[in-house]
Amino acid sequence: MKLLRLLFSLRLAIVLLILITLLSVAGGVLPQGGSAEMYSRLLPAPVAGAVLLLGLDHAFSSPLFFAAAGLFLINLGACTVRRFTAQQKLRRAKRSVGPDLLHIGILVLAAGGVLTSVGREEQDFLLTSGEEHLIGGEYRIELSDFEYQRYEDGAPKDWISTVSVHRGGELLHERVEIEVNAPLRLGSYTLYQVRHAMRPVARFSDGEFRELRLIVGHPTEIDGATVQFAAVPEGAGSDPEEGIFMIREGMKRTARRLAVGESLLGLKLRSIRTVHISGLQAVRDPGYTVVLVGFILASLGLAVTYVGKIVRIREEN
Amino acid sequence: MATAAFILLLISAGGQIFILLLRRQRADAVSHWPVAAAALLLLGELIRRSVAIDFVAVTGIFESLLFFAAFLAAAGFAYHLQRRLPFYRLLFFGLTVLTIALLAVASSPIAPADLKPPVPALQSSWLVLHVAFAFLGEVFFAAAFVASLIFVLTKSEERRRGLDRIIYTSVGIGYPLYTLGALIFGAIWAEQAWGRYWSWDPKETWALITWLVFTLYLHLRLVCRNTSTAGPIIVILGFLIALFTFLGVNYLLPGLHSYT
Repeated sequence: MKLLRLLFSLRLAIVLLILITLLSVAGGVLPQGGSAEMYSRLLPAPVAGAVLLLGLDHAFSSPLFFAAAGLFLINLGACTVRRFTAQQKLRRAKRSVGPDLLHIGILVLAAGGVLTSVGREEQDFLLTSGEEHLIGGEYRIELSDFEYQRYEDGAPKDWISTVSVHRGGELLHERVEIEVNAPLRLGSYTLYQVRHAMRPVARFSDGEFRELRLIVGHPTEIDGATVQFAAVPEGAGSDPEEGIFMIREGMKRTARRLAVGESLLGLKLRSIRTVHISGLQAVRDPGYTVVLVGFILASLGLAVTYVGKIVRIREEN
Repeated sequence: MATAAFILLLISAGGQIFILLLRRQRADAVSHWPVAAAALLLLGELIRRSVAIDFVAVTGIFESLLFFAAFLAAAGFAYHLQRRLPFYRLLFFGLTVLTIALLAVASSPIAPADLKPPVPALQSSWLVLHVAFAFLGEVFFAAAFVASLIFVLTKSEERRRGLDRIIYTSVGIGYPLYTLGALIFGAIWAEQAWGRYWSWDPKETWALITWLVFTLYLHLRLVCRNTSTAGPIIVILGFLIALFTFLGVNYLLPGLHSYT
């Protein structure tokens, strides 16, 4: 009973708020994710020992932070239930549901955060015009065009990928744009324009049907072998005449320096060009909608509390 | 226009010091007008810059300082008109000094005034809401900060009760604005720009710390007497953390917000 009363208490909430604030300050001040040697070098020995013991080198995923945040959420839930029950006994005019809505919003946000940390999937990929990428075995994304817009002084203005989306042979979207701050929502997936890159791209073809583009650093399967465009020779400029390719066939690994016009696995190297490449990210986040609901509830809670206070002050005056 | 605003604020501060030293009981009917003019000039400068970069000018540190200073000056003007508030002159003076300090930072080399159009990640309406609401919240935190400073220096319990009301009301207005701006709109913008609501970026972490400190104040006030110094001390701490979040983090703890 005593424990239950403690869980419902505002004083526990205050103690936990102080603890979470202090842990957040530690996480905000100390470099995160460093090695034990780094902390020993940066801090006096007893402080470095305490940092490692308390897990403050990864403050926001430390057992102490999880314990404090978990207990705080239990306390918040208990207080919300108690407060809401007490409110029902008051006259309608005296009721104030704003703080309850805000507290419920925070609990929903926490639930969304848990869902995100458990179930979030991310896929980063680079595409050149004409290339495709399969997301979650479901959506086929084909990049039609990538535009890098600049201001007059050369600073980046926008990166725009124009893509077509297919699912199971059916065209879902034809030539839709994905920009920074304007992602594309595809069912449970969201496609973000996260970056751009300048990369050499090698174009191969057999002169008849097959055409292949290899981006530096991206391995591709060709007739059972894995081929990776590894690099261009140093000082080769933006349109190099040669490239270095790594080939893996079973256990055998070879490196080949290939000039434009030469062949590799039956495909002729037609050109190597340094081009702008779109950097996209596909995210499946089960917490996305839950967090959004949490935001709406918290915002409503703030608004209702604020309006309620104003009405009460006016009535008092 | 920012320089003219700075000069007007200095003139007003000089006048206010003169009146405060004279300890005249008669209302000061003049010194808030230069502050109001300064606020309008700063807003005018922000509009001019917005037209020049073809986007709402809140994306750089210089513009953010101007925005914060403009609304701080406007708040000072508004508080000065509330003559039934205790220490309204000191409150107004404190806000004027804070505005001058912000403009002094804006004129320093750490806040280059070059006109720079926003990089792709900053071109979002959510960013504008994020910045605007967060600073509007901080304007009220600033008023609570000044009132808290006066509170801890005051011995009279009656006056403390009056100041407590100002502190609580200011935090009460600033808190929802800050929560919406810094945390909710900021998270929605982050999701669209970077693909996740929260990244534990230093700016985000310190914005959360600011929010936690003011949350602590609001809860502490439910259990503490309204003449206790605990609340005002937390508000003072909270506003200093808010200032560190705004300025200190940019230069000391680089992260996703490093361009602001």
